[in-house]
Amino acid sequence: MYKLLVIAHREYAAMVATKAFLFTLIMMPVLMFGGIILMPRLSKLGGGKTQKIIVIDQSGKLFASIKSSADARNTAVKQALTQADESTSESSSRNGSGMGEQVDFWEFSELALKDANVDDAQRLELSEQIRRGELYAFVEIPATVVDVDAERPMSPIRFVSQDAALSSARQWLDATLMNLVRTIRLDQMGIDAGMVAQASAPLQIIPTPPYTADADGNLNAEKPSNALVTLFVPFGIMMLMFMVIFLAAQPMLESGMEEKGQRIAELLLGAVSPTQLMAGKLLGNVCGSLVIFVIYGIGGWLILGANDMSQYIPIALIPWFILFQLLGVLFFSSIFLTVGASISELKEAQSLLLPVWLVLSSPLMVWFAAVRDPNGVVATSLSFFPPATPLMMILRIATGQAIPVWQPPLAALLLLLSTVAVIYLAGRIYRASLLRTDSASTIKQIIGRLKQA
Amino acid sequence: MAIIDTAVELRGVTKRFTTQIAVDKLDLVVPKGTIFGFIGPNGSGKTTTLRMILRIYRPDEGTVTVLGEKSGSIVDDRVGYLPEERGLYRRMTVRQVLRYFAKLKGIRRPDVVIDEYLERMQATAWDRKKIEQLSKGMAQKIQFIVAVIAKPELIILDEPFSGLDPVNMEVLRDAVLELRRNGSTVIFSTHDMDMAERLCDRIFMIYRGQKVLDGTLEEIKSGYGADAIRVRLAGGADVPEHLPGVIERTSSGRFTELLLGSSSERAGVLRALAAHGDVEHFEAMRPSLHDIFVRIAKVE
Repeated sequence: MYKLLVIAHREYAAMVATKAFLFTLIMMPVLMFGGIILMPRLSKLGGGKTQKIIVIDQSGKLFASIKSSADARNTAVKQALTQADESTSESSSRNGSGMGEQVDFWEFSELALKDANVDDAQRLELSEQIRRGELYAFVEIPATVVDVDAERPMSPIRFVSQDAALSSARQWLDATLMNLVRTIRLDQMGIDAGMVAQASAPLQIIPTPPYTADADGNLNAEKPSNALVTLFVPFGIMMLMFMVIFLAAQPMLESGMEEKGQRIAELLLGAVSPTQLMAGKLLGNVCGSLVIFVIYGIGGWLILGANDMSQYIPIALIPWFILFQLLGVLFFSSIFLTVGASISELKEAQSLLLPVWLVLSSPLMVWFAAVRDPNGVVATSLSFFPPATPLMMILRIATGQAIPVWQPPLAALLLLLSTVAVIYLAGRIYRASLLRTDSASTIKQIIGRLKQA
Repeated sequence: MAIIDTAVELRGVTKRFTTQIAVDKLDLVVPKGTIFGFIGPNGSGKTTTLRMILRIYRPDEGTVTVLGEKSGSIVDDRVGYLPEERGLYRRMTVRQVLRYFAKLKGIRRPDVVIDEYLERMQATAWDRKKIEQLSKGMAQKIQFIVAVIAKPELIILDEPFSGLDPVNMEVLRDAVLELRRNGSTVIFSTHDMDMAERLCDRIFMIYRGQKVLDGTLEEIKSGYGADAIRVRLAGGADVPEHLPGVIERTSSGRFTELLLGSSSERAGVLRALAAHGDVEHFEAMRPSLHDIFVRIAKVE
């Protein structure tokens, strides 16, 4: 037992007390979640420009309203930009610039028309101005746009700019013009626009999780469900499981390769048995994985707490998380260790471990469907497939939806049995591979070593 | 309680790898307190035998008794091992490596004994250096310390001197002799026949998985008789290729060594040489261990 602890301690130290571990520990969440957090902020960089937009209003009824709406919007944006980040985002969202996008100012001016029509030469000239950067966009509003005559075909409004498809100005104009044109049309039809607006007032359906009661039997005031939180909290927890397993299993590959490649294995086997060696390594690895969990767990707790989202931390999930993490780490680390001890070069590991990675990460491909329907066929089946169990079962539990109570224990039992079988088989291959100087570069060759153990 | 005077005993040991027989019904006895030379050409089954003694491999047939124990890992801490394939954790320091392996050998507080060995091997200055910073010779010394740090009763040294300069070779040789003085048994596997002759109390040669030599150096040499002659002709003239009764002729620079057939006489060879030129040197000699090794390995 003492020797096992000595090996475990060295393995643990080799895993966590390195700069590479610290770097990976930081970079993994940055790469995985950084995009989600940073993209809205990064996309705002370079905002604050004034974009010139020419309106060709052939109806003669819309430009003044467009301009006054745009001026009001510009003023609101200017105020928002001087406020704190979150209020900026909220304000810009409210003002049609869209959350997480550059916030620019729009300066609308009208093109005077000679005979109420715009010709192709003018269109080309304005397009050239756009290409030269002198103009951001021009909008061509046909006269018929305010007509209520159903017999006359309605001409479309054209918004011409370099980024017309993605332009937030176009999106804003879409909504603004819709309101203006509807008001004019209703007026022409003799209908009170105020009454229509009243009748069209949107309904509000608040997504609310099931109620709970306090000790006195009173209903607890539940916070409304947030669609993003509902999707991304289970996803985040699944990714945490993925990161823990990845960060734990990878060093096992390197450790196996180092001891075989550097000819350390024979020296070790002069002191301990292959079984002791493998058991000690896995024990150290599991301890290392718990450190990763604790670091990420505390980090996640602090981040969610700082953003007033601590109520979304699923505390009841932690025992399940630790159980599936331990089994998952043992399952994959023993495979990685064995592959490391069977090969001579890292590129051989890449081809051998590709199927393992695909199976481990299969829940990542169906996570969206699984969050929406955690009791669906795909989610349920994958959660009982041992290599995918740690990620998929924890994702299902994290959704907070009622999954049959027998399913997590059964999945854990299946994973446990599979882990025992994998460790046994991996141990035999590990024993047969450690002192061999040749490499087993195919799965068939690795399995062939079972017979030699 | 019976006093066990053998450190290692193999009886009828066979080890196969798929269809290949690496060790074939091998009997081997290593007396306690000796330096036991274990020699044999490459691929003869030396390493496999050593690994069976270390319990790394299990024999398919026969029994392996080490320090009185027939099975299990109970002897691990009483056996030290320096494998032929050298390797240490490159990113660990010398002291970290020594601490690790000392603990694996059951030493709970290893620093005192580490200091003692570093000093004895003139390696104290390398204490905090990483293994990757060491020269091959330095790393080999550290590996030797790893093998002997637990003061084992049995030490298996596989090619301990390869790659060492003469000075370090002497340091290591003295350390091996000291181990024997302290009562340890040393199994010394090597291709360096001169070193084996100088160091070993007994020699055992394995060839194609079987025993071909076993005894003291005297016993082995006497078994081969004085059937070799070392000659030199005046002016460095070539010794003729065909001489009566000579079955092998080997040139070693200044001298030519002639191996006589079983019924050949030295006088006849001398007469034939004299007829060819002026004989400057004519010496009847017993074959060296090297010669015996080459003869055995060359025969088949």
